[in-house]
Amino acid sequence: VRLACLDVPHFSVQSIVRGDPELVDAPLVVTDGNSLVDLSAAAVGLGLHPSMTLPQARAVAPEAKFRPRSLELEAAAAAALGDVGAAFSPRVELAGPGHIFVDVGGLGRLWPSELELARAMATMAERLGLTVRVGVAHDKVTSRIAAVVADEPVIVAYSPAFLAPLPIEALFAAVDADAELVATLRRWGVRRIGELATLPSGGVALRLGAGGARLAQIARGEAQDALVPRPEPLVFEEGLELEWPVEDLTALVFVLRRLVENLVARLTCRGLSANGLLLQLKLDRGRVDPTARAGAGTDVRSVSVAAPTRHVPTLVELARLALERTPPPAPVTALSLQLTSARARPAQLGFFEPAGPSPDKLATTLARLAALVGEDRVGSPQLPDSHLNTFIVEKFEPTPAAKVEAEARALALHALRPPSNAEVQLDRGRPRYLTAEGIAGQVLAAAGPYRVRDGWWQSPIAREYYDMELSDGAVYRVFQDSQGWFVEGWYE
Amino acid sequence: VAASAARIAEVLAGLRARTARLQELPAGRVVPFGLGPVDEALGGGLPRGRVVEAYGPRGSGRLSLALMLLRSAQAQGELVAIVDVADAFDPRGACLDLARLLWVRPKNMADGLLAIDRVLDAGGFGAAVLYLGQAWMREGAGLRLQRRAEQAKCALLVVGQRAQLGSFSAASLELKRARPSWSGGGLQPLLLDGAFTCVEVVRNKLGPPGDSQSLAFSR
Repeated sequence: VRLACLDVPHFSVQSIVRGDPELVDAPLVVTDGNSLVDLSAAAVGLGLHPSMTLPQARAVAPEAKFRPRSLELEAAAAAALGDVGAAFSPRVELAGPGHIFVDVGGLGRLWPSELELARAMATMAERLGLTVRVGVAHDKVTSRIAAVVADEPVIVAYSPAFLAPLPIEALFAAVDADAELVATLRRWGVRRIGELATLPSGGVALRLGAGGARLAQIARGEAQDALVPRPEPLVFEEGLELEWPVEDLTALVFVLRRLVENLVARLTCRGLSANGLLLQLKLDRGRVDPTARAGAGTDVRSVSVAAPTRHVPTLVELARLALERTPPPAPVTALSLQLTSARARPAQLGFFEPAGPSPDKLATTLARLAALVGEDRVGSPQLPDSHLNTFIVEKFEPTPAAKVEAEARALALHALRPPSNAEVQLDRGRPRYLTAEGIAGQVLAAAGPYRVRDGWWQSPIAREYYDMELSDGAVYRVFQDSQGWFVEGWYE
Repeated sequence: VAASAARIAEVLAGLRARTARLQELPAGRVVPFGLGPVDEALGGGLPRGRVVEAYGPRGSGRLSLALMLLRSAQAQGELVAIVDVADAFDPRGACLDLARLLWVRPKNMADGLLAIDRVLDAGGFGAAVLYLGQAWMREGAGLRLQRRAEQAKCALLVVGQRAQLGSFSAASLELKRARPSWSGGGLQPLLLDGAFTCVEVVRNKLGPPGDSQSLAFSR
């Protein structure tokens, strides 16, 4: 068994920086009520310490950035960390806030060495906005200690030899040991993990109980805690609380883009694409119309994507269009974005056929086109069983090539949508002069009428069609029904 | 055994024919219109990676010519696209494999240019048609279309009422006013059979201009 531990130092700080990358080098202090939860390296450099209270910290370093702890951002960061693990192995355990275990056994065929694998994990996490430390060992606790002791990835081949020279505090930190137990071991003069390993196991258990026996077992490299893989996550959601209410759509879209980027990076880890967006906007309560319906403090909108895609500009564009169509009724104080995931459609290439666009690129193109012209105006046309000039547009999903008669020379119709109202002068029952928008001319020849009846079972349509050659040189398809005369188009 | 051997020989002959067709498709291959002299003037058809424009008056058969190009590309197994700025393409009677046709109906010219840009950006479309109807492109669009078609290695036909691309098109095809063909008359009912038109290569960077071909479309 080989397990990798991915540990995120200063998890609360990194969660907030992930949501607001401008704070990356800032002296950031995460607070919870009056106490300090976490400090960035720059904040420590200003002389701040986690044991300080908030007023003390403000007095010592007024220039520091103070942010309240956000459980929502921490949950998103933890999910992102899980996605990093899932990009490498299907067996991932979300062990606690800011660290996960990944079963990396059997990945030797994919990666030249465990060090390369660990570096790739760190790089992937970096892409998702998290700086991680990685340790690889035979058991969970050793891999966790290996992750915590150094910023560079640590590969442990033999646990007792690796653990022996380490200070005993590393062990206490890894297993969250009981304070009384720690004090006892210090009183005994145990300074290194190796010293604890050499103590007789029976005597340690007798004097320190089960907790002490477990510490000694870990120190000897004999702990074999089982990996508990987490269930498959189904939700890709990120949220952000804004520092002040935002009314301007451009600013809102700017913030939204960051959420989309984070979520798309997570989807990429799992080889998935987005096929829908669910946007939840929390509105400024003070500005919401008090007479509005209940729940008016939240604006929820769902946006469908024409085809699964990971193209950030397309997803942002779709969200922007949805917001522009119906702007939020009040300034937005927080927003949350959820992407529904789907696998990109696989394609079987034909051996003798030219390669079309890759499924991923085609899906992205369709989504971009749908965002541009509307979902109902892009696709492949399909013809319903009707005598009328109707069609439906379906999602463009190319089927294997069918035989096409290349030599066919069919006369095409330039259709007018909707048909243009027309006036037709008759002479002894035959069309003599045709007038419509942009069309006027004497009828030189006319074929028809051809009677078409359709939809009698639902909404009956009865038309009489004519082909009319006008003096302008074109041949028009004209019909008459109970509403009057219409030009359906001209032969082009 | 003899029947099996004959069958194997038949399959092998089919495979040879198909692989021979593959070998005939160099990187800069063409999509023929199926019009002898016009194709010859263009060096075998509309080259992939180049833009050609076709224009003519209303009813001259511009859309029918564009569909001939798409049919020809589909017969080669290609995916095709039509960006229909005029929203006028009628799929009924187009004689195309509609499942392998991407039809985009932008609401205006600006969206149309963006749409063809995105279609070409996807790559993998053998031929594409930008059908403008009566609309006009903005200046400078020709250069962008030319570059995008070149990057996408797609045979792009721009169909409008007048020549708009200038030197950015590899060739300009002008369609003359079509002449309808009727049958019947007298005691018989009059029927529209089709139309005759004439395509002339008025500008050509791919060969000598001036070739023309009369063309009959049938209903």
